[in-house]
Amino acid sequence: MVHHPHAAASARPDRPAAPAAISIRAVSKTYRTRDHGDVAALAATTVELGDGSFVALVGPSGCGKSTLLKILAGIQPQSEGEVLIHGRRAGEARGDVGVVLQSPVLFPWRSILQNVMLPVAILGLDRARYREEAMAMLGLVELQGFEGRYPRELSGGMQQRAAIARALVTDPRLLLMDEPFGALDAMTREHMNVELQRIWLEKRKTVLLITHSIPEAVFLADRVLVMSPRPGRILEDIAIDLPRPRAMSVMGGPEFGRHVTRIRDFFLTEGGIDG
Amino acid sequence: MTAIDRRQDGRPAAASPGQHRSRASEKARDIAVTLGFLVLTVGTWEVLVRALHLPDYVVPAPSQIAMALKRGLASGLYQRHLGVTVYAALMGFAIGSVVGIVLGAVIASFRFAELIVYPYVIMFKSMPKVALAPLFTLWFGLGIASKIVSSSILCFFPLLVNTIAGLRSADEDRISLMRSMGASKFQIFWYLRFPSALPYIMAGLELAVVLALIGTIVAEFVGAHAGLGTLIQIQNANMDGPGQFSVLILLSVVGLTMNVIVRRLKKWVLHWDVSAQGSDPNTQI
Repeated sequence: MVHHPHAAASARPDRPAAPAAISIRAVSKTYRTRDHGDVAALAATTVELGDGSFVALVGPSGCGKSTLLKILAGIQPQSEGEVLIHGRRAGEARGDVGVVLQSPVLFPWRSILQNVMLPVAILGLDRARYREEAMAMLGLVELQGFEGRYPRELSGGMQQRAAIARALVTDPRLLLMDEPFGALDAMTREHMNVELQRIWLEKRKTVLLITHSIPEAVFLADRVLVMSPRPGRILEDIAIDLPRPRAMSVMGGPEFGRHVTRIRDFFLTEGGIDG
Repeated sequence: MTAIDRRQDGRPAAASPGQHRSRASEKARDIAVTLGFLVLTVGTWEVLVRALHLPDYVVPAPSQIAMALKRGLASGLYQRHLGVTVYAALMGFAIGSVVGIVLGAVIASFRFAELIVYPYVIMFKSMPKVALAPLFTLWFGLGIASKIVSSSILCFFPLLVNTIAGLRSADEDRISLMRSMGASKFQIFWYLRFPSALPYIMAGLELAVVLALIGTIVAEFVGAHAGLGTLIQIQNANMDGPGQFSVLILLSVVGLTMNVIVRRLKKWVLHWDVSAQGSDPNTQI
């Protein structure tokens, strides 16, 4: 039962041709409701995410972005289609998927270290060994010294950093983030964007980031997937080839502006984006 | 108690640095006001009873009550009855609470348990449970068993209802997150639902500790060999007014002590919950 994520991770080659880590094939979701019959949340979607790539998913509210993420995270099943995460079905990839949601979703009765250790406890891994890993992750998100504190003693941005440390502690190959910085103020958000890029450059996880912010998507991602209003489908797949590491100043550059304008035009023609 | 609550909440939340030093003297003044009024009330009571020549089996003077309390404690009579009542109340509290929490967890976790058991819970919940005391005496006798049963039945319901509500209060996002980690149903219960229910369970225990004493005393009224409830009835039959009042004082001391212990326990268990740490008039006085 105990899957050892490190064993698989260390055997990984240096991503020469970026093989598809995550394969989403004709995945759709239809909700059954009592009042409105069947509601299609996500139209049949097919997309592949390369190993170690950073992919952003943007789209209007209610377009099914979060639904797709929940399917990948194994939180809810798809209605049709198939999801493969490193060859395993969604929901069976225990310990190989880290999830960060819009709110930190920390457990108030657990200290910060205990929160970060939660996936270790769930997976029944060796606590003594992973305690070091958890401390290293807290260092990575710059929360060293806060391991004994409780969530209520931390600011919103710090709590979200703790949530990122928790998502990374078992060294999953896939990191799913649903509007992770949506609840933060603009200054903190920009800082977190720079931090996330630093963490990604260090860890090279496959990241799927859902965001309402087009500049955030362009700043962070290698690829931006643009989704249509409900039922969502992927309209456009845009490669962002800005050099890394990207500083906040790239946001003022002409190439950055060109990408942002191009994505925004999709929404203007398709009926708007909020946020 | 509510008056004290209101006064403390009404006070300005944060004292300015200058006022900080006078905190202790302010507290001393508060205590002086409270004690002063107590002395005034008791003194007036004493004077009125003497002046109006009220018979002591109707309203005894405070001095008579104090004498009765001293006599009862000196002879060891009160301690003997107190021990029986406290034992029955604590046993009832422990049994009723544990059964309530366990059954609540079963009902909240398994739908078939809810379908089978919950209708009866709803039915018995709205019944005044003290009305069952005569039946318990009939079934379990005049000994301590009927008191423990009566007290535990009263404690059972708030714990059952609060445990179910608490287990269902677990945050949806936290459940989703645990699912994404591959948590089993039991792990979601143990790491999330149960801790989420703790504030509800502790609130249930606060209610139950009061009910435990009520359940015991009522059962003792119905029929018992020993206990403070029995003592009150004997004193009542003997027209011993000072005695009855002195036992009432003893009972309120017992009630207050049990209440303070549960509140301390609550603060310790819910150390992470800011709302459970509020100022507590009972422990401050």
